[in-house]
Amino acid sequence: MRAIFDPRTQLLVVLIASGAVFLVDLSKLWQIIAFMAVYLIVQGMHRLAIRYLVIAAFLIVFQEILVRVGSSFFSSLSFLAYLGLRFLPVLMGAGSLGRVPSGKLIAALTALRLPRGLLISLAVSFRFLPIMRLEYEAIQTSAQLRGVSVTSPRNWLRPLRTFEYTIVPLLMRSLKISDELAASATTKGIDYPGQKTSIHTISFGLQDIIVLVAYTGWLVVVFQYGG
Amino acid sequence: MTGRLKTKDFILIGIFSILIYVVNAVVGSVLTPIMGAAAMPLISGFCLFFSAIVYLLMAMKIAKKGVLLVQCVVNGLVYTLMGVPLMLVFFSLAGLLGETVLYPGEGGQYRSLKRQALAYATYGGLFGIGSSVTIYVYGGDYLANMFAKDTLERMLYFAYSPIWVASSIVFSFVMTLLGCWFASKLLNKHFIKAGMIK
Repeated sequence: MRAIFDPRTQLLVVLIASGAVFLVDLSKLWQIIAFMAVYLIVQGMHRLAIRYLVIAAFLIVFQEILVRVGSSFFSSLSFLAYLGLRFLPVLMGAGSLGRVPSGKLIAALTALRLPRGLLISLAVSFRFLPIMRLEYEAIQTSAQLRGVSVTSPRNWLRPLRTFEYTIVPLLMRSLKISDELAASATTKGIDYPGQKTSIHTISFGLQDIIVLVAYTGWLVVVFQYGG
Repeated sequence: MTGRLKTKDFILIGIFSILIYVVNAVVGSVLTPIMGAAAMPLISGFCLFFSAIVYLLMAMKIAKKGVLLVQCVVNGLVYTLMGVPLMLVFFSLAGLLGETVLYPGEGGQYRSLKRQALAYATYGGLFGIGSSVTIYVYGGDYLANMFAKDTLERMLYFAYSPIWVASSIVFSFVMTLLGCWFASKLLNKHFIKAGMIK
């Protein structure tokens, strides 16, 4: 059985996570990551949870090694690893938000009374991130065949050209996707001026209360007694 | 002839804003190990150099009032989710300033590459000092857990040195203009010839 949360709850979880990662000590950070992993698993996203846990383990080890070595170049690298580790809980929360159907997301954001235009931009940009990654991978595959891929070090010597070969196809695709999305949204009546209804019911349920209470409780425990 | 933003414009802005964010983030994290220690405030200039083409394409495609502002708000909300809600306010102000630069004229200015470049550069100059402003408002203590000690000291040094802040603004501004120049060449070569934008 998997729990389905209200998108507003998921937003709140992300917001709380982003506040918490600023305040928590690095040594206690893994406890928040652990909670977020459970949060993902409860929603039936086992593979996502495992992937993030592997990344977290890798970053922690990487960070430890870099701190031991300790030269100025490595300290900048460890700074990045550190930042990545810090934002992992936020990314995990956003990962579950990214799986919400866009109709449901829009319905939830409407309940928050955001201006309509902004809401559309926001919903689109949340959903676009995973699509962009797929597009990027496709572009890199064909770039590799032509020897102009970002991944081959030889091309790092001409950053401007490599940038052009990556960004232009990406922009072309983005324009196309936005056109298709606009056409599809229009046929579904997004421009209809009256009151809109949604097939998704947006309401806080028992599971939302449980997860929020558990989350705050866990954070209190982490900040008070953890580490 | 400018008109208001329509739904399809908002969709385009949504997609391109996140592209701008990603380009900035990727360039930023590639450059941080290379020049983070020596010249951290200058990194955002390079980020803006590369993201200029994304903004210009979006602005040329829509050519209406408010594109920059909505882009700023969406980017600000992404930062809010990442724990810095201050950036929402800051970016909105920077976006408003950019829109003000763009405002004088009869509507044709939204189709002018030069005017759009100037507006984006105005926003860019402020974007560059975003991290310093975070430090001014929240203070070093808030960030103490976030960053390692030597990194934080370096950030504080850069944030409170007037020369670095000024040079960061100027550098971001110039780099954005340069980026727009480079972008306009790319736009001519790929998009305008293909008829994707006018």
